[in-house]
Amino acid sequence: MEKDLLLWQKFKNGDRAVFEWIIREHYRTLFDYGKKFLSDRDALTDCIHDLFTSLWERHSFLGSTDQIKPYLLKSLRNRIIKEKQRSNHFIFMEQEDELFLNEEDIESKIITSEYTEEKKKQIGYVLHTLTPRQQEIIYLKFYENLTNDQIATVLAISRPAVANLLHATLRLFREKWETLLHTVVLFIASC
Amino acid sequence: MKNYENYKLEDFLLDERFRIWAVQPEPASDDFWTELGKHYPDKRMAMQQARELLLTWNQTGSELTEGDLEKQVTRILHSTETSSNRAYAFKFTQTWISIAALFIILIGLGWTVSRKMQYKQPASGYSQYVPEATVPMKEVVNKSGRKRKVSLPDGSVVSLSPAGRIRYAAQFISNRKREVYLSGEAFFDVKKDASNPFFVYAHGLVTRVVGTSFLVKTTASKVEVLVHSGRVSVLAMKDMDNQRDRNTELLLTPNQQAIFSTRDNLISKSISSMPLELIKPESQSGFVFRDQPIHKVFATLEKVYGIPIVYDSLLMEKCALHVELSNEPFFTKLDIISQTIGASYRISDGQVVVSSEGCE
Repeated sequence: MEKDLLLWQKFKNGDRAVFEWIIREHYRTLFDYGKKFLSDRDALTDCIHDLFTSLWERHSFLGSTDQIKPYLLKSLRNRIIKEKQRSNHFIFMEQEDELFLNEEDIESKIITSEYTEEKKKQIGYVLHTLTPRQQEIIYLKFYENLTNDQIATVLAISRPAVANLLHATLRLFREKWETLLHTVVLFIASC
Repeated sequence: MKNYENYKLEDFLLDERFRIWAVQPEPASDDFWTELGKHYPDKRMAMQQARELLLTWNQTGSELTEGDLEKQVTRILHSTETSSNRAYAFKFTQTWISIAALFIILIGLGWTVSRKMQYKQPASGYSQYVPEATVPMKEVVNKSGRKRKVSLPDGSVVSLSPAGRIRYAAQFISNRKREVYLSGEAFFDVKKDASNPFFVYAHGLVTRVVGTSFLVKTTASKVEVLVHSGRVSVLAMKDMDNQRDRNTELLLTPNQQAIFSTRDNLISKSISSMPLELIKPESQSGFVFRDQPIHKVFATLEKVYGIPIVYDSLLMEKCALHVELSNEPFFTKLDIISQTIGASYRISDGQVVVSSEGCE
């Protein structure tokens, strides 16, 4: 995006107003996304704080980007993974795939929205049965509305791999959902 | 037309057009998808489910409150701040009884600089402007590390930053004036009182509130006044008593900025480096311009930011803009617009002056 390219260039030139604008524009997205990996609020806000301060320190040495949001999401993701590896170093190395923790998260989000309670529970239930990686790609695509290119940047995989993973994930989601709906219908019928 | 015959739930979910329609239906897209449902009745269920999913996923609530967000932004800005390059995040509230006025005053701190200033311009120090103690004065100095709230007798509230200092007469309203002497940094919430104007004296510059909100930022060599709403007049202190020759007095409107040089007592007009939206755009489409003539684009910007834009309307008659802008800073908007139509601009005397060779 041309706009992002221009804003990023101004930020690289040390424009404080643009720096502040970038923080305000993306803070919430970063926080909500980071919350999926790191449930500790303080540790998370520290991570985001460090991300932005290090960006500011290196602003004149940064490369250019026309994709600010995916760039920030990716940087935060790497930061959190590093942080987790550092703190869990003596216990065990976590698999990257196991990072997308969200026990109540997705469910509670859905429950707060306006859709019928039953539907929301079903959707949350089905989401839970997916792998963390699959949940994450759904999150990036539908919660954060990223394009496949942007998801590829965040997850550091190729664009075809994103399309592939998305399609497979959603197919699996549908199959599981259909099974669930079917079960519910059967249950009602048998009552 | 695409082949929808084999579309399943996941295909609808990944269809860009479908996604846009599910979240923001418009008459044209409504017709399209209703028609499709009629054409393929067996797809209606999948479409319905896909739409529900998209809507559910789209309304995600955030756990972060506005207050938390503000705190975190301030924290980052604070950690990345250097003494020569401070950025202020300020917000003001406006109630029906009081007009929020905010001034942040920074007195130059460099030891050598201030020493030099004292020798060169003996009249520019804070103490010089505090009136002779003929009337009882009250002084508040914030020695703590946090902002401190001070209520003035007229109901105005000052939020004094660490090391900030204000003085005012115990008999606050006198000679139909409310006067405050300031050094350091402060945030004022001024109660509206048209018959007793509010004055802030800082570093050789007088700022008079005509019923407004604004910011004052002072360093050793200059004072900056930035207007948020309403009108503000600024005047060099030395011309205060000279009723006939007030040639340095400047009236500022929102998002305009006066820069006062303490060296030569000159005031120049400019524009805030990050103008705020004073009002929301009138039209529903906001800053989304679809083949709009340039005069409409500039009129929208002028209205929203209150900054005059000067251009040759005849020469630029044929310039049209097709661009989607949203909440990017004012100058980024200007950059994008001028790049799109091949024009350039400069800031002069509180206005944006656009130069263009016209469009075909």
